[in-house]
Amino acid sequence: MNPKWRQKAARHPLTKAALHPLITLTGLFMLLLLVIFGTLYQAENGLYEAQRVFFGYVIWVAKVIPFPGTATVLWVLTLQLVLMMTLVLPLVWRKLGLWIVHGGLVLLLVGGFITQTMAVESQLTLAEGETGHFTTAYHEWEVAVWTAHGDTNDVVAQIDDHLRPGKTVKFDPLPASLTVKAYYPNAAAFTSMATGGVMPFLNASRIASMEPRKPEKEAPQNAPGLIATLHVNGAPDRDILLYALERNPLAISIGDQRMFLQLRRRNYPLDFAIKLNDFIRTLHPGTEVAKSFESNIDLLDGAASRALKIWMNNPLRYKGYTFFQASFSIENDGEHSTFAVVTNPGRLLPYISSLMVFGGMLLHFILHFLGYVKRTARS
Amino acid sequence: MNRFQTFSRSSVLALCLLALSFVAPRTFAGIDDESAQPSSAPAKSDLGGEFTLLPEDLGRASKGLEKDADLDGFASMAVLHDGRLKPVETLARLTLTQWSGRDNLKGRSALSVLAQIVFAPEKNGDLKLFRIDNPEVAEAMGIKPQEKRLYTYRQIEPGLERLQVLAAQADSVAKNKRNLVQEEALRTFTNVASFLNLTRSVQFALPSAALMVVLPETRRLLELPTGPTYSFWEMMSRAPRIAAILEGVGKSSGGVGPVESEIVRISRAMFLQSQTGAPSLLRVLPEPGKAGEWFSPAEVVANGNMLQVLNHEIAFLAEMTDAYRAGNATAFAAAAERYNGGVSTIAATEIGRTRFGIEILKNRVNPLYQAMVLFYIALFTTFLFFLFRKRWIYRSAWTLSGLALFLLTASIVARILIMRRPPVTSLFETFPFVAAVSIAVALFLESRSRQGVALLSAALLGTVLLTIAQRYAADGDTMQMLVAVLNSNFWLSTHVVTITVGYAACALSGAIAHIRLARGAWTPFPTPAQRTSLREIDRMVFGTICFGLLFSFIGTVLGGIWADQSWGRFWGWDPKENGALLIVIWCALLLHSKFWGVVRETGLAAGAVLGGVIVSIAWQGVNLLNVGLHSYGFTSGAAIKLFSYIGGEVLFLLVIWGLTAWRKRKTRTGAHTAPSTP
Repeated sequence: MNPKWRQKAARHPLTKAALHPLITLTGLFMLLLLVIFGTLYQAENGLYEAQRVFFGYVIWVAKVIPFPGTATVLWVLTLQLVLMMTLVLPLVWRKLGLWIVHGGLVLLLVGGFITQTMAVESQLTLAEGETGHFTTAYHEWEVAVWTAHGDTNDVVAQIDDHLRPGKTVKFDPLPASLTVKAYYPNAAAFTSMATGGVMPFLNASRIASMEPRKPEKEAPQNAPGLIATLHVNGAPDRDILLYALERNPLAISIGDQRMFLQLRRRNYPLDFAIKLNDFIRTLHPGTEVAKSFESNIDLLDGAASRALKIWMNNPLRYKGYTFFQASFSIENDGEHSTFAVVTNPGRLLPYISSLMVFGGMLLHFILHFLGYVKRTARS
Repeated sequence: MNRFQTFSRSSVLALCLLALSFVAPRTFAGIDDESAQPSSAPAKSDLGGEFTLLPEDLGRASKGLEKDADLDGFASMAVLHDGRLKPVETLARLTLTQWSGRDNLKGRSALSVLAQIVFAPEKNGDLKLFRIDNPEVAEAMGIKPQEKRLYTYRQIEPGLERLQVLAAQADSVAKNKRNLVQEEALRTFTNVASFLNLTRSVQFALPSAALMVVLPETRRLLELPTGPTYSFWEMMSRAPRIAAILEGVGKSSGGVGPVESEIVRISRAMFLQSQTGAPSLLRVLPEPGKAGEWFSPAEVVANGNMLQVLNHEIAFLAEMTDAYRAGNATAFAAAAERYNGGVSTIAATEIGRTRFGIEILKNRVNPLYQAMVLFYIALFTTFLFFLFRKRWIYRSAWTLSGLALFLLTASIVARILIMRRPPVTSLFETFPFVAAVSIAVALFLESRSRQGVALLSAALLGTVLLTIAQRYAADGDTMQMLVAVLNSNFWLSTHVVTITVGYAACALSGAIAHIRLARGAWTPFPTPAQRTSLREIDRMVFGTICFGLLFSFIGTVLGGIWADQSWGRFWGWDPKENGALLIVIWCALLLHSKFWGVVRETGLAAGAVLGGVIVSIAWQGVNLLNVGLHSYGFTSGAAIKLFSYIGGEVLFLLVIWGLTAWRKRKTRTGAHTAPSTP
C-alpha cells in the first residue's frame, strides 16, 4: 500500500529533522503567543497597526530582539504540513479522518494567504437618492491628477500611498511631474497665520505648514499630507502641498491647459452603479436599541436596473463584489448609508477547508468515540 | 360600579374635556387658586421637572391586597419594558432587584410591592426599597448612612436635591471614567426616579388632594360618594354634570356662589391633571392597529383620541385601582380579567407571541437558583461518597445531580420559549448553558465509568458556574433585546451554541483533570487497580479535549462564516475570535504533544487545567479589552476575579507538583520499611 519511496523518504534523517515534533509544537506555541500579544497590542494600538507589526516575518521586541512573526510561523507550519502529508502520514483507511483534517488545514492556510494578498476591502457611502460609481478605500490614499474638459474629467494619474521622498511621478501626456519631498501618513496642517502670512507652498486651502503626527489607533482616521516639487518641462517650478482634509483640488495652469491635483482616499471604479433609494432604521419598540438597518437600492448595469434590498446579515453579491450594510449616518442633507464592499477571489476557500477539517475531525473522533463506548460497555 | 354607563361613551367625554379647557381658565381667572388648594398639596421642590414627590396622604385610606394569589390578574398584565412585552410580574422583579438587590422585600413578593407602589403610592414611604452600597453617597446626600445599606424613600427624600446634583455631575463624566461614588449616586438617583415614576402610573384613578370636595352641597349635586377626595376618573364620569353647572356660572345675576366656585376649582384641577401626560414605566396600553406602540395610562388619558378608543381599558384600570384600595380581591380579579381580555383583543398578535404563563412560572420557581442549591448539596454528597464509599450515597449524589441538571435544562428551555431565541444570546446566558452541556457530558461519562470522578466534576462545575450566573442575574434584566447585528436566530443558534459547547468541553476536561492530578499526586506508585482507574480518567480527559477541539473549531469557523456573510471578512482578528482561536490552538497543541509522547498522562491533565485558563481568557478576558464586536459583557471588577482564578490554577499546579514529590519520597521510604515489619 505505502510505496517504497515514501517509506524510505519517511525514514530519511533530513525528513525526521524537518518534521521534528518540537518544531511543530514550538510553532503552535508561538502562534499562541502571537495571538495573545497581538490581541493585547491591538487593544492598545488598533487593528491596522497590530496587523502590520504581527503579520510580518520578524517582530523586533524592544527594537533589538528578533522574534518570528506570524508569516514565518505559518510558513514553517504549512511546509511541515505538506511534507508530512507527502511523506509520512500513513496511507490507511483508519487515518482517513486525519488526511482530510490536515488537507483542509493546508487549504485553509492557502485561503488565508490569498485573502491576505488579493482581497480588496473598500466602502461606499451614499445619501438617499445618490448614485455611486466607485468605492473608496478605508486607509489607502492616492494623488489624483486630472484635466477637465467641460463636465468630464480625464484622470491622468493615481499614485498609491508608497510615496517616499525622492520618488518622481510623471503625468504623461502632460508636460509635468512631481518629486516627493515629504509624505506624512498622518499629519496636522496649519494656515499661514503661524508663518505670518508667508505661503511657502502652492496650496488650494491656504495651508502654510504641516507637522507629522503619530498614526491614529483607527487607521481610517489618519489624515496624510504630501509636499512635492512640481516640475514643468523637466525644470523645477514650485513646491506644492496636498492635504487629506482639503475640500477643493489644487488647480495648476500649464500653458493653456488646466490640471487638478488632489490627495484623496483611493478610488476603485465599479463597472456598474448603485443608487440608494431609501435607508430604513428600525428600533426595538420603546428603546434606542437598533433592531435592523436596511437600504433599498437600485442596481444599475448598462441599461438594466434592478430594485434590491441590502440589510444586516444579508449582503448583495454581484460580479465578484459583495456589498454589506455596514453603517449609517444622519446629516443635514438626510440619511446616509454606508456599505462595506469586498472583492476576494479566495472567498470560498475557508468554507471548503473548514468543512473538510470539521468533517475529518468528526470522522476521526467518532471512530474513536465508538471504540470508547464499546470498550466501556464491555467492562 | 359601572358609572360609565351614565353618559354615552367617549365622544361626550372628549367634548366635555374640550369645553372644560376653554371655559375654565378664561372665565374664572380671578379666583384665587392658593386659598382654594387644600394644604396637603405637594408643593415641594421640583427635581428637574421630571417628577413630583411621593404623596403623603390621598385623603382616602387604602386597604390593599397583599397576597400574590389575589394579584394574579395584575401579574399577567402585559407591559412593554426595554423593548420587550413582559408580564408585570417580571417588571416587578426587575425593578425591585434593581433598587434593593433582592427580588423580594423580607418575604413579601416583588409583585405585591409593585401593586402597592402603583395602586397605593402613599403607603410606600417607609418600605426599605433602596440599596445604597456606598456610605459616601449617603453622606454626600446629607442623610444618615444605614447599617444594612437599605433605605426608605422617606430617609432619602431630604437628600434628593443633593442627589440630583451628584447624579448630574456623574452623568457628565464618561461611563468608563466614573468612580464608584459617582456610579452609585447615578444608580440611586435613577432608582428613586423610576420609583416615583411608577407611583404616578394610575394617578388618574387615585384620589387626589387637588380634587377634594369640601362642601356637602357640591357632593350632593355631583352625586359623589363620601370623599373627601376623588380621583380624576371619578370626576370625569361627572363631566357632563360639571359642564352643565359651568355653563350656568356667570350667567345668573347672583354672582359666583361657594358651590360653583368649588366646582370651578375642581374643573381647573381636572384640566391641569389631564394635561400632565408624562409617561410612566407602566406602558400597558397598546395603540390599536400599531404593533410595538404601547402607552402608559397617563399618556392615554391626556390624549383625547386615544382615550376614546381605549376608554374601556382605562375604565377597567380604574376599577382595578378602586378594588385594590377597597381590599376587594374578587372585584380586582374581575376587573383585571376584563382588562387583560380587552388588551389581548386589541393587540392580539403581539400578545399571542408572548408566553406569560411560562415566564411567571419561571420567575416564581426560579429553577436556575434551585439547580444551584441542588448542585451544592450534590457536591457535598459526592465528597461524602469519596469518604465513606457507600453505594446509597453514590446513588443520592447521582439523583441530586440529575435533578439539578433537569432544573437547569428547564430554565434554559423556558428562556428559549419566552424569548423565541436560541439558548445563548448574552454573557449571562453562557453560564447556565456551559454548565448544562458540560454536566450532561459529565453525567454521560459517569454512566460509563462509574467512579464518581465525572460526578464530582459535574457537581463542581454546577456550583461554580451557576454561582457566577447568579451574580450576573443580580445585575438586572437577563432577557434583553438584541442589537441589529446580533439579531439573527440562525447564527446565534449555530455559531454561538457551538463555540459555547466548545467552552463547556474544555471546562469539563479541566475539571476532571484537577481530580486526575490530585489522585495521581497522592498515589505516585499506583496499584494495578488504581492504575486502571487512573487510565479511565485519562481517557476522559483526552476525550473531552478532542470534543473541545472539535466544537471550538466549528464554532470559530461558523463565526468566520457569519462575519463573512455580515461584513465580508472571514476573519477580522476580533479579540473574541482570537480567544476562540487560542482554544483551538491549545487543544491541537495538547493532542499533538500527547500523540508524539512529548507529554504523558499527567502532562496532558496539567495541559487540560491550563486549557481551563485559556477558556476563561477567551470567555471573559477579552471582554476586559473593550474592543471589538463582542465586548458586550458587563465586566467591572471581573478582571480581579479572572486574574485570581488564573493565579489559583497556577498555584494548584505548583501544589500538585510539590505533593507528588513529597508523596514519592514518603511512599518510597514506606516501601523500604515495609519488608522489615513482621
